[in-house]
Formats: sequence, C-alpha cells, structure tokens
Amino acid sequence: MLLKLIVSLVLLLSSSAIGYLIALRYSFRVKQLEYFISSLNSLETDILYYSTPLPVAMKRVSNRTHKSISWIFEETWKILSNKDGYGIDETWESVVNRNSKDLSLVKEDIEIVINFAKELGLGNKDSQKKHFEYTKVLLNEQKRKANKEQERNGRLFNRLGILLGLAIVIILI
Amino acid sequence: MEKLKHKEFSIYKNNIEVSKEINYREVLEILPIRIRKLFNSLPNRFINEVEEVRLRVNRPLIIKNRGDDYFLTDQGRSTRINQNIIMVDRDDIKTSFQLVTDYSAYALEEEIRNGFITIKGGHRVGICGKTIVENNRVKTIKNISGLNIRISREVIGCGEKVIRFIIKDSSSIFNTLIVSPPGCGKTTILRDIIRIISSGSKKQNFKGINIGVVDERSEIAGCYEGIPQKDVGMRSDILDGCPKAEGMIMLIRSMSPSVIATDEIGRDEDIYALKEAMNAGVKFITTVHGDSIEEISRRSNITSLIESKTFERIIILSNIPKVGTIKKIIDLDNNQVLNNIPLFDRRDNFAT
Repeated sequence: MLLKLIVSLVLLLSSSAIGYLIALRYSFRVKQLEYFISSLNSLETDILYYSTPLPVAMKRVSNRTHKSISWIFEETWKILSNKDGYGIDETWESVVNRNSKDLSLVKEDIEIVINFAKELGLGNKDSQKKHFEYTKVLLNEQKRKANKEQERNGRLFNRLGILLGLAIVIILI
Repeated sequence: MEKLKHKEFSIYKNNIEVSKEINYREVLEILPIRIRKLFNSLPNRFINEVEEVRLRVNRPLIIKNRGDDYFLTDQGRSTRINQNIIMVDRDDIKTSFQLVTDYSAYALEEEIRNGFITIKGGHRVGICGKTIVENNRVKTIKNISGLNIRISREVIGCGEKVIRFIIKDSSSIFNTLIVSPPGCGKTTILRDIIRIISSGSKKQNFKGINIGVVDERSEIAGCYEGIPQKDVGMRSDILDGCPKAEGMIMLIRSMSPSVIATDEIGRDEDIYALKEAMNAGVKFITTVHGDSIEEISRRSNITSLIESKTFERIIILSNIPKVGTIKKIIDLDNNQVLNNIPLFDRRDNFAT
C-alpha cells in the first residue's frame, strides 16, 4: 500500500513537472523578448547620444544585458573588432543562427532580430533612430503575442501536467 | 641586365634617408574578404607603389600604380588587359563601406557629408553615391556606388631638398606657396616641410619652431580619433577638420604659432584670413592647385597675393617625369628663379 502511494506520488510529481517546464518556455520567451528590447534601448543610447563605434557599443551592451542573450552581442563584438572583413548583417546573422537553439524565441522573433542588423550602423542618426523604433515596435508586438500565449498555454500545460498525472494514477490504482 | 640591376640597387642605396612608409595593413582591413585574399597574392614591389584603389559598383576593381591603371585577375595578379578580371558588386561596396566607417556611419555624419573619411593610418576614402539634399545642403550620401581609397604615403625626407630655400635664418622661414596640379605630391611635400620646421634640421642649422597646422581635410596629419598618424614633428599643433579661415585665427589666438601651414587655399575668406594672420607676424606655408604662375594668376584672389608679394617663395611641382618633381623655385622678393631643374625628384636623388 505504501509502495503504491509512493509510486503514484512520484508519477504525479513528474508529470506536473513536465507540464511546468513546458509552460516555463513560454514565460522565458516573454522574458527574452523583454531583454532584447531593453538591450536595443541601451544600444540606441550608445549610438545616438554617445556616437560610440558599433563594435564598442556591442561590447558595452553585452556587459549590461541578461546573460541569456548577452552572448550574441559579445560574439558579434569579437568578430567585428577582429576586422576580418565581414559585414555587420552576415556577422549578426551567423551568430544568431549558430546558437538560436539556446534561445527560447520562436522563428518569427528570430527573424525580426536578424533583420534588425541589416540596417544597423548604416545611414545617419535619423535613419538609425527610425530603424531602432521600427524594430522595437515589432518586438513589442511579439511580446504582446507571447504574453497572451503564455497566459493561455502556460496555464494549460501547468494544469495538463497535473491532470495527466492524476489520470494515470487513477487508472493504475 | 646585370648592370641594370646594379644601377637600380645603387639608386636605392642613395635613397636611404628617404623612407617610404605605407601602412598597408590598414588598407587591407577595409577591403571585403574576397578582394583581400586576392590582394595578399600581389607582389610586395607592386603593393608598395599603389596610389589608389577604386571600387565602383558593377565595374572592375582598378588599382592605380605609378600613374597607370591596373585590373586584378581572379588569380590575384595585376594586369592591364581586360580579361578574367575582378568585378566589384554592390555587396563588396556595402561591406567595404561598413569597414571604412567601423560599422558606425552614424558617428561620421560630418565626414560623409564632405564626401570622404580618413581611416587609421591617414589614408583617405572618398565616397560617391546618391546624395540627399536638405535646405540646399548635402545631408547624407546613400546607396554608396563608389569608393576611392587614396593611399597616403609618408615620404620622410622629401622636404629636405627644398627646405634650404624656405629657411630664412636659424629660427625663421619665408612665406611659401606651393603650386601643384592634383596628385603631384603637394601634400606629401608640405607634410615633410612641416616636420622639418617643427623638429628642426641640424643639416640646415635650423632649430625647430612652433608650427600650427589647419588640417581641414585631415590630409596633412591624417588624424584618426584626434591623433596624428603621420610624423608632423614635435612642435606641431594640429587643428583637425577645421575650416581654414576660422582655424588660422583660432590658432593665432590659442597656440601662438610662429608658422601656420594649411593645404589648398582658394576661397576669398581663406585669403582674407591669411592676410590678417600675416599682419599678426605669423609666417605661412600653404599650397594651391595650379600648373604654373600664369595659371594661378588667372584667379583674381591669388593674383592679389602674388602681386602684393605676400609670399616670398613659390615652389612649383609637377608629375613629369615623376610624381613629386620640383619644377621651379621662385624668389618673389628678388623676382628670380632659384632652381629650375626638372629632374628634382622626391623618389630618388637623381639630380640634387
């Protein structure tokens, strides 16, 4: 009897943990989108107000952002400051693509992030400002969507995990 | 053949005091990787003589070397025949532009508006494309279609030959005007004269004096992030990127120079400021575009300078037979030609 109780408890716990983990991915996405938006803000300040050269600005941003995304800026900085002869867009794209599995973002978000570098550093401050604003609007929109999904699916998977565990336990008993 | 080789060697040997320094790595750093690889296979001899590298969209890459145009084959050789040659595409230009601006075109708005950027090493990159005009002023250039990398060479020692005509006594010089068509080494010689005046010359028994340089186009000192990339001597104050007329007055007020050097005067306000500054007791070295005295005399504002004998020495440069040839040195005070040897050259000591 005791064994039965322990086994069913373990089953219940692991099942709800799986549900919780799946739900966590949704909240990670929202968080990472938030980090991106705030790092864009700080990159924008560096560019528009301090006229910092882009490689240096990348390094500074990488020091300031959350470590779950700071590696993108750090690696881009490394490649750019080596002066290997790559453009910013190809550098950024290869860095993001190479490690996109580590991000909790969906394909749409990654596309926006990649497209962001296509105009980065080209043109004068006015056009840069508009470009930053445009990207931020897109990311905010994604964040809104992600929030909704998190509310809906996050709760769903949380409950699904617990209920599935309960169902298995009941069937087995 | 043996003799010829020997002769070449001996010229080189005489040339020891003239050192050509070109920091080639910095030029490579602004080329896209595809073209950079090809450049690496070029012989050093060729590379040391490169004057310009031109990138134009959908047209061949052209390297100017000793006044001649060369193409680059896809094997990485220089050629004059239009066959198997490297074409430049839009991506090359785009990447190159990013490398020139260090991915930060926004930080160089003023330079782009003027049409050129000075890179590390003092080389200049000219930009061409579609200009955006606002309020009758060029706002920026977009759709970059052409880049011209002018490799600036520092020929330390090339001014030694003319300096004796410029020096008045151990601590003063004559007002000097250098007349030259574009691309004859005018800036190079001016830079070396500045270096000698500023650091002094034991040979001429000249002790160095304070010299202010108004470097409107960042050509003389080749400042990169404010630091001169060229040897302009130890007593030089450089006002980088400053309009000449304003700069001259600023220097007099702030740095009390004995000599002011500028490049390419021509506008009325420059000449007005120059006259003002001369009344303040400052000596001048400056350059002007032109072939001969007759030609520059056609420009009314410069005629006034020559007629009023503001300048005491005029040096006329030419690129025949070679870049940097000194055609004539004129003493305006006594109205005589001091030196008239056409083969007076910055590249070798052929006829000194």
